[in-house]
Amino acid sequence: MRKKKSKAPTSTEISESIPTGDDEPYFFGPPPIFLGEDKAQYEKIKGKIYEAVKPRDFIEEIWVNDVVDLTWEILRLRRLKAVLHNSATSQGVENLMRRLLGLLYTPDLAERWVVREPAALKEVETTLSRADLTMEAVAAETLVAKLDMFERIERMIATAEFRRNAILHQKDRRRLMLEESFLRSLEEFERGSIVGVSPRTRSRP
Amino acid sequence: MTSPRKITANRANARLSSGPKTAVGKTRSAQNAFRHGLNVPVVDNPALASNVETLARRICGGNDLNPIVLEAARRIAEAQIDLRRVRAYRHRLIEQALGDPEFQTTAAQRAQLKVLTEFLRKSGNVPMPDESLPVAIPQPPQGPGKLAVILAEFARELARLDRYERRALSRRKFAIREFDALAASV
Repeated sequence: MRKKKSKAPTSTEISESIPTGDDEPYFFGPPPIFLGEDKAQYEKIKGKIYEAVKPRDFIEEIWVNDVVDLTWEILRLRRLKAVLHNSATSQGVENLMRRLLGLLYTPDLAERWVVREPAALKEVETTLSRADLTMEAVAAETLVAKLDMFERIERMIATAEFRRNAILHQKDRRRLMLEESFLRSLEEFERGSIVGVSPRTRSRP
Repeated sequence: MTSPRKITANRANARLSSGPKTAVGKTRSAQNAFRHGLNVPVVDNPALASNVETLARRICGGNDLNPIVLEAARRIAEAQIDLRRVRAYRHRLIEQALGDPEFQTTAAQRAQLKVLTEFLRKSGNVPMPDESLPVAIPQPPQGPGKLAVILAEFARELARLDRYERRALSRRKFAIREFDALAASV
């Protein structure tokens, strides 16, 4: 069997795509902004998250950058889901109307309904009410038409959210541990200072 | 329970399938890890190895560099640079497809080929003007839905990259814990 040729870039291409240098963007990786996305919006989100988390050292900065990138990815996927839902609605209307109207279905009804043409809106509404259905049925049909895609996007959103929450949890856990460790060493130091005081130097009451 | 006869047969069969035999097969399998280079350790790449060192020193925060703590910081740096490699790869994969106006899914390409083959077969291998091509040829995806098509097309590749990312994240998490424990103890 012939092996399917991958469309993926080669390792050389990848090496070329990775920026080099010792600056921070290099360590964190390039911002995950695709063509047509708003870099200013990304920077705004980044600023807000930095302000909220206030990273205390470089490790926390690495985490915050991850949180920013994951948040950006989640927002992108949610937008994509909404766009897909809108574009799939016409397919949902078409599938449902074809089933309900049979041979009476006019091929451009769904397209006219999407652009809110009054006659098409009226026809869809009448057909639905005649079948004792509501727009919920259209939504369900839309979901069925693109179920695989919606599922895939939902899974990607869930993964990104899980990773973001895990990083924030790691940050909280680390801060707590560092504080505890600091308090412990402070206590030990205080105890050591008291123990270390020679009885001869202590004045008798 | 597995019989001794079956065990012997299994062992004999296993010996038969112990990797590629021919020189071509061996050369090809030797390149398996190099398709995207993500299996190659960061320290094996001289450019990345020097960056691991810089990042490790940055993680130490310029404090007195205890060699044990610095070694722990190196492990964080390696995981971080691995993560960045995976993310850069994924980003480029999607961006290339997004920027390609002629991008087509494999299924659409197959459909195109089928339509064209059928068309040429009927027309006796005579190329026909564009306007007479069948309308059923799938067009490249456009608009905001294109990203969804790309995500579906690269679903397997993205799932594989996700596994790399998960492993790198896990390595980084434990490396940070180790680093903190060592930094607190010295």
